[in-house]
Amino acid sequence: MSKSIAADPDDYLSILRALREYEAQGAAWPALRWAVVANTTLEPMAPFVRHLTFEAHRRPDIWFGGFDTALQDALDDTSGLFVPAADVVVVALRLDGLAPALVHRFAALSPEAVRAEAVRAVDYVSSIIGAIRNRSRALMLVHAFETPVHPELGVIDYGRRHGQVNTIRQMNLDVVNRASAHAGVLVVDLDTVRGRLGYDAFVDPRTWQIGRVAYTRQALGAIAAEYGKAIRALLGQNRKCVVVDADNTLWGGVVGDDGVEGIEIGRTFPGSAFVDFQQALLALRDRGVLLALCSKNDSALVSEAFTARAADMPLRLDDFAAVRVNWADKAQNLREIADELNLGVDSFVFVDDNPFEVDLVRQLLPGVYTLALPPDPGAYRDLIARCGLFDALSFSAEDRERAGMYDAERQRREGLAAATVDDYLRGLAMDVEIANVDDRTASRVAQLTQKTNQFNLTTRRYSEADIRAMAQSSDLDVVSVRLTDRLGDSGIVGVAILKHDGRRSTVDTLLLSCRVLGRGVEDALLAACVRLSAGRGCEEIVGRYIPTEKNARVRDFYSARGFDPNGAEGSFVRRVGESTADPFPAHIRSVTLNGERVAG
Amino acid sequence: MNPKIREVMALALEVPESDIGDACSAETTTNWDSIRHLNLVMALEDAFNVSFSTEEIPALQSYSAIVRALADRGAA
Repeated sequence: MSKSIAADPDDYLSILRALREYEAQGAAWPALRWAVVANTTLEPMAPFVRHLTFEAHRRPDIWFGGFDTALQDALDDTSGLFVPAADVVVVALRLDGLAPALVHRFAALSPEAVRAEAVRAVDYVSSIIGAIRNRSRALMLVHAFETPVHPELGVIDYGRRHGQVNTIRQMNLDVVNRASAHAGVLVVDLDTVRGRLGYDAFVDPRTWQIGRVAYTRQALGAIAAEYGKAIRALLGQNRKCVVVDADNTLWGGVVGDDGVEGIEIGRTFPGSAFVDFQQALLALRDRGVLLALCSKNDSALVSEAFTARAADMPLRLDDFAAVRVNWADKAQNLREIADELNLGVDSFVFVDDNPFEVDLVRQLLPGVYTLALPPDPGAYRDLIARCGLFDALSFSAEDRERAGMYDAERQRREGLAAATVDDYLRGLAMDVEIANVDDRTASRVAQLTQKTNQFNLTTRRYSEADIRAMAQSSDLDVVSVRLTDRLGDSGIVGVAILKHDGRRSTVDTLLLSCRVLGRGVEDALLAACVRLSAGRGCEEIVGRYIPTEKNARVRDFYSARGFDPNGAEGSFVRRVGESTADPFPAHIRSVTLNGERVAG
Repeated sequence: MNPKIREVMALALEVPESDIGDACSAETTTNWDSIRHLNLVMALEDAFNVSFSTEEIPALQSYSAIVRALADRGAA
């Protein structure tokens, strides 16, 4: 991956300078096409959007619809929203233009008139969303309406169920409800962004008067940063693991010097600040982000700190998916943690109070995002929330339980040391369910295509809308793999997409979550693909390996499984037929394919 | 020419620095449209830590007008 071009998001000039460099460096990157429909002048957003797109190593291409022609653009099959097809659509409709009376003459409206205006505005936005979704699979980013900071009814407004602020909040809820009927629509809450910046830093009355540009450069940057979180999630570039130091990070003081009773952690400051930070880490774990501990320390002492001070500490040592407490250099430890968790170091955020360690990691492992803790522990907590690097486009039960699954995985591995691999795998009593994607699984399947990097043969990213559309197609099979074993339910851990065309099936996508690698699930999935292909009457199956910086481990996947080179680089083929049907791995207790037991 | 103003103008108007001269104005510069004009104002305000009034913003139509406005504020 080429170097990142540093720019301070709060420094407009540094953004413009970085754009100059990126124009040259990113000319050959794949395009990411944006379309923006708005009823204000949003074009000054372009430098920020281009910058965040380049940061994701995509070449930005932005189309702006006409001023306040969103519905016409959304209904016109030939508009710039659809030709060429946008990857991301921003729908930015300000209430000022949609229902000016609600913004400027609220007190003059009867309750019936308020309701009618509110319904009209929400209907308008949702019909635009629907019209775009009918014609496009783009990720949609829809701006919520801003509530007034000086409501017309003054101090009594917020106490009224149908006051100005609550009316607009209810409209936003209605937009969220309508949007959630479609896949791939995110609502961007501008009030939240404005709350971070403050009102005066958010709106610019001067540019509003001159050219209907509502937002300051700081606001444009902060709104674009929200888009950036979604884009990184879409492209599978968000961070999956936080690696933290122990001393002066999880607690105040140095356990080796101050002793387990001397470190600061607990109800009163400064210990309370570290409790808050630990809670922020737990909140990340709840979202499915893995925690790892990497400390230069005596490992017995750190363990003792966690047990002796358990009553004061929100975190337990078991909450960490990987632990490295030793005197080796942190870059080496981070590489080991990456191996242990089957992640790339570029999915890591590294948090340390020691500038030396932060700098070392920055130098040796430039893919790691580093956070140097400030001197005041009171500021630790927000640092994690502020960096905005952990977003996903969906949140599922698997996410909530992911960290626990890694605990189970650690138990599995500890068991592995004791017996032969095959005995161990048999003892796991694995049940593999492979089935065509349905309403319940589409979101998780899309998420896996967006997030899986290492065991991913083609690294094609699909939105939930894409997956649903492909599932409808008669010449495609989109299947998910679910794994359950003695130690727990791993949920949906793999995806395959097959295209059938006459006598040939092509594996468009084949991927597996790294935490289940090495257990034969990949063989079961490929065997299932061969069966699906045979079931369609195909005679051969073609697989592709598209190299990325992260998927070298699957380079030989097909050649190791009886596929022959098929002309083009990275293309493999083998015959399909009863005689060559792959057996399912014997150590898997059972395999079902669309409900039918095919092995075990 | 003031090199910092020149750099800011070139970046915001998306032209090479060599296109920005003493006589540069919205009339002589094709790229200087209404949107880039607002981008330019944002960039100047950021680079020189100043704030222009609503009346001034549309009047900053040339290099010399920008130099004057910044000099009035002791910013350049």
